[in-house]
Amino acid sequence: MKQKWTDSMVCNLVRHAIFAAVLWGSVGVGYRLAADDAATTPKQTIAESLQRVFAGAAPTGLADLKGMQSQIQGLSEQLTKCTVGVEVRNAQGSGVIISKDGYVLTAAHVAGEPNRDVTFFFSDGRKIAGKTLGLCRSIDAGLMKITEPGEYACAEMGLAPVKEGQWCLAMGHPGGYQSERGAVLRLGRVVWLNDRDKTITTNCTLVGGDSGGPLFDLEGHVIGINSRIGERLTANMHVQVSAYKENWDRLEKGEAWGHQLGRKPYLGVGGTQDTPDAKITRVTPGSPAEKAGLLVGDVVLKLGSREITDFNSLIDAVDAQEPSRRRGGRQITLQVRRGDETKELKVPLAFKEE
Amino acid sequence: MLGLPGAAAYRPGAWRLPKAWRIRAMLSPALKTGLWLTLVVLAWIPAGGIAAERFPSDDQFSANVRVAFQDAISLPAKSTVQVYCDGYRSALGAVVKPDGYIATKASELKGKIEVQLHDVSRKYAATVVATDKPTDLAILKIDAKSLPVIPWSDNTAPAVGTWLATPGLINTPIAIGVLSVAARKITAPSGALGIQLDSADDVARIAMVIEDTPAEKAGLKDGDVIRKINGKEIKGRQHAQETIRSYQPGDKVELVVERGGGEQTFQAILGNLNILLAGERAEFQNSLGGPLSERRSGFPLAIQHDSVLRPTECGGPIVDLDGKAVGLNIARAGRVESYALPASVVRETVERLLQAPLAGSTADDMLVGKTNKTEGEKKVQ
Repeated sequence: MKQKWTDSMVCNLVRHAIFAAVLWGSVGVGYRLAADDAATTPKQTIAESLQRVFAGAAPTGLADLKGMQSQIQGLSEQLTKCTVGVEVRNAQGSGVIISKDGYVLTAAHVAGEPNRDVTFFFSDGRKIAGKTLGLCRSIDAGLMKITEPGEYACAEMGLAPVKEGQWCLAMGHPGGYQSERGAVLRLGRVVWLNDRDKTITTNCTLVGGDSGGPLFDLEGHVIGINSRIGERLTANMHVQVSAYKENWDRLEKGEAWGHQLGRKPYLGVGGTQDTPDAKITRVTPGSPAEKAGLLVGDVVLKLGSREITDFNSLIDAVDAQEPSRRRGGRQITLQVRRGDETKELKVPLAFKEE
Repeated sequence: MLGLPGAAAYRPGAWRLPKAWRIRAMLSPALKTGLWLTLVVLAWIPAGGIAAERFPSDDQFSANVRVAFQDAISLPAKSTVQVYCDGYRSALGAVVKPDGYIATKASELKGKIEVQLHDVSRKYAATVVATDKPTDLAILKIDAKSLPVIPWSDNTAPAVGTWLATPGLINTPIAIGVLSVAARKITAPSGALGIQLDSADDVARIAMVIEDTPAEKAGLKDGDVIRKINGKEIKGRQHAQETIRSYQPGDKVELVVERGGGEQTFQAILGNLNILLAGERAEFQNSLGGPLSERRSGFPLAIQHDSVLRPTECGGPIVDLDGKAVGLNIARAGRVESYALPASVVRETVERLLQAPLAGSTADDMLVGKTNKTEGEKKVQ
């Protein structure tokens, strides 16, 4: 076991995770899928007492448990059909089909980048090709599309707000897709909701390979997408499905934005906003900027291939980088004007680490 | 003055997350498809800091739900026993014959074995009558009569989504969950050296020795051609793979390889192919939340469910809402999975195991519940 975390470290991390101002605003453009496009989940009438249980009441006896059981048994086949295994390059994860024409919700860290080839693995053994579309890394939401035309079994995205205590079902392919096993069902309840980072935490246990798979309510609506886990068995995090709806247009267009928590690229300089150029007024000691030899007074002209016009555009340019997974990040070329000279500096763009 | 993103907004010390958050790709079990480098990803976030306030233990979280199962388990709990080894709770068990025969998980047994019955405080000394390697079942015998035999379910294929409860000696179940995957074979991990072979079929040439594997420790090098494994001539790429995988993790093998015109001999202790492929990260993720059973694979047939069990809570019955045992918990296998041998497998195995010591006896043949008398078919498998 190679765990090296101490409790206080973890506290810091989590505090950070919660309070970091990762404000990827919902653009408010709303999600548009014609209702008749999406709805194939069978509608059932559910007794009122049972609905109360589904919504979070503890079942009081065998009658409640049997009601839940028949509902779950009845749903499981449909849920299995719309849960797919996903393979993107070297990564394997899960996904859920949410429209007949093959839009697939997944996790951003499964998709990796827009416009990558995807192979979808179906419960009946079919393998079908597709592409990754957009992804928001900060909330870990990704969208994919099956590119082979056809009509696919799908689930509807939930409309009702998710509530703490609510019962839910997780599906996915833990350990990767295995044809002789198929998707794996888990039942649990919502432990807590975090609207700041757009997550639902449940005690539906997850493990590697489940990423991107769906969390359903007990009526078969997708309410979340499996994303990450903590040590406790009650620490299984899913991205709220509302995050996909709010960002639908950007996801569909294939935009990639945001940074995975702790993977924000970092240069380590300060500047002023009111000058017409990106003049450096401060270089943080020990930062990538200092290592590259950037000096106070330098004016940044270009970062990679991006023209830098003022300090804000430098901020944007750094932010648009996705540092590589290699330790130390990737090298990027910075063109600066120093006095009368124009220099090129290689910057080892990194995540900000202590 | 305005800092670049990250320059000022975050306190130093708050940034160790990257390492943990960095997606630990784990090599997948997709060797079958030849995808040696297929990765499986799930981000792991150390959520411990908020655990105290926000994440109750799973046990606490499901406590009031478990109460609803009291009626379902009242009967099968009476047939559930606690198995002690050298005084420690080591497994649960199920009464399978009224005159003191108990089925449990074999690999958890060691030392002095004692059995405690439902609502009886005394412990009975127990002897191991028989064990079965494939199923990991053991039959214990205690000196007792008229014990309530576990009622088995006749449903040979309970549906995915079926509620399942694991009774202990108390009146609420010790764990609950649902059936996650219908019965299937759980294959045993095979041995692995940690090499990638050249794509040429007619020769077992090592294209790459993977770092930190038995192959590297043994001293194998890229370009070596494997000629013999434990004295057996190796005919080519596939033959080498099959031969290595026919061994189990921990097995010692002697390899004769051709290197630079000469032959050299190396000793290697094989690793676990699953761990090698899935990476220690997978092992790590799977162990988050609790320990796993030592023996957790290589079962002829098992249903998978999501009840959270400790390894020492295996060996006992797992029942449906009608209080009928659909199987016997046989392993805590991962963060998301527990396995149970289906009732039919347990019944057949118990019957087979008991036939040997009880050879010739027909009077004792009334094995548990509704056994259809088909003795003839079940002698040997």
